[in-house]
Amino acid sequence: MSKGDFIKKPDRRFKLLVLTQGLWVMTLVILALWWGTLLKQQSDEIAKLQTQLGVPESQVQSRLDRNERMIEGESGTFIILILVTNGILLFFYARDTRRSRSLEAFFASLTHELRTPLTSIRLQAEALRDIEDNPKHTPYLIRLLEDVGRLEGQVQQTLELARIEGGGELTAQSIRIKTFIQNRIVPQYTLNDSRLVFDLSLEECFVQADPSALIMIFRNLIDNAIKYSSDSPTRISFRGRPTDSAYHLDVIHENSKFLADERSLGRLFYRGSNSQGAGVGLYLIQSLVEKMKGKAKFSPDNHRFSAHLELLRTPEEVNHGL
Amino acid sequence: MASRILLVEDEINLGSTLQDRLGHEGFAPRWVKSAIEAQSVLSKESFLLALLDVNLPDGSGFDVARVIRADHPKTAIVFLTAAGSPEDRIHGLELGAEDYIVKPFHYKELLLRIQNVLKRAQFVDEGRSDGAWIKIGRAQVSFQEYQLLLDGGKHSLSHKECALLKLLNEKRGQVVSRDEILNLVWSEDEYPTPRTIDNFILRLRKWIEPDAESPTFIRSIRGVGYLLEKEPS
Repeated sequence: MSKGDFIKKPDRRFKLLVLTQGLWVMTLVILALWWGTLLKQQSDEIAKLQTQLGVPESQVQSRLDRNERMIEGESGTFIILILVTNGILLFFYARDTRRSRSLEAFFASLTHELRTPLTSIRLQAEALRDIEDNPKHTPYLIRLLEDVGRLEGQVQQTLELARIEGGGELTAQSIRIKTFIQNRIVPQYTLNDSRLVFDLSLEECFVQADPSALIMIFRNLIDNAIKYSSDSPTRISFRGRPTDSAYHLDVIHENSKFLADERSLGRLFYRGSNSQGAGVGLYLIQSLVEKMKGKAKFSPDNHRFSAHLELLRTPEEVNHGL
Repeated sequence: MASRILLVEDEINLGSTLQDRLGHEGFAPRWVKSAIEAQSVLSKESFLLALLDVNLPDGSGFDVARVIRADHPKTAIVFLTAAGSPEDRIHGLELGAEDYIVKPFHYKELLLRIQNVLKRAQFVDEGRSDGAWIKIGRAQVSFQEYQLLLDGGKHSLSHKECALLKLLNEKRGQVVSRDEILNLVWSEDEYPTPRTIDNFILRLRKWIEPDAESPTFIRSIRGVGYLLEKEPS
């Protein structure tokens, strides 16, 4: 199995900040020392000139001593202020980073803990649906399953957001994209819901991607299509073609009610004009695709929402002529 | 006879629901709630499939998987877990799991994936003659024992090595395409590349060929797949 990391180590940002801060402090301290030394030299020169001009030596010496004390005191205070200020800044940054990481860890652990009871609720609701023969109960069971599905989606998004924001890594694997969508994505919806129709006009190709990230990306897009669909069944088209190094995939939802400013789509917490969500889904899609060294673009045009994903192709495929 | 399934799940509601539903599907599930209980059951009974939760109160499903790999190589392993990070998934598959299912999942999806795993396990199992050792190249192979005899030493074969070798052996003298290999030997969650198959073939050649650098038994057929030559009569 080919695998590799897509992204940087989680604490690299903090290390880079400490290094930059350290260099900045060192530059300021060296400059302060340099200006202090220069001022002392100037003071000595002035004292020499004053002596040559006939000012009494005791008076010159007394002024020189006073000037040197002042220069030393002010330079020292300046250096101490630089060090203290930077120390305080680093302390607050480290504290905030720690708090933010604790929060991320809390959300990650909470959502992780929610997954098992959610599975249990889903399986029991599915069992009831499968054995229930009173048609009066069916709508309630369908609604229960829909709500469980929505809750699962939210939990999954929160967990992924915490993971991505915490610098979580993705693992690159070679995936046959058409087979993946046919076998792993479409059945998740068509096995339980007949109100969705998929059109797969895809060319088969190996892409470098993380399978969990791909599932999250497609689930978000399909869930959005269901949420903003203005007709039933909801029709979603997958169109894909490879180029030399990339695979271009369009996920298109016709008859979408979603209204948004195209330039703001993909920004964290941007919810569009009529959004029912938290503004996390498209941001996650963009972040995940970028972490897989690809690109994502969204176009909400005239009752049609399309997501254009550019994914990396697996080089091995070319060698094997598959 | 119903397929025996070991279910290791510490969450009571989930465990009992799965036990009921799998039972109704015609499987024979044996539900235990901890790693120790699982190890105790495994010391007395054998199963066709093990469904393992990863986070258990007294250990990890990965530890149970290691016991299964060592003592019950024929038991297929599927992880059912809330830990869906790429690292966990890779770790699970490296331990020889056939599949890695992240919670929450749909029951029908679970069922499909169990059936796929059992179909692959059945492929390795079917048509074998009990205890038979088959000569392939310079090695003797037992598909029943998942073992290979070479120079007086025994080597354990993984499920995939065994399935790949069996597929080639069944079609001796014929070309087996890469697609056929991918469909029969790998699970949907593993996303193998053509290079993955090559790596497995390289490993098999080291055991089977007198000179792995110049293979005479497992031949590559460019652009198509592989061919296992017939034994000279």
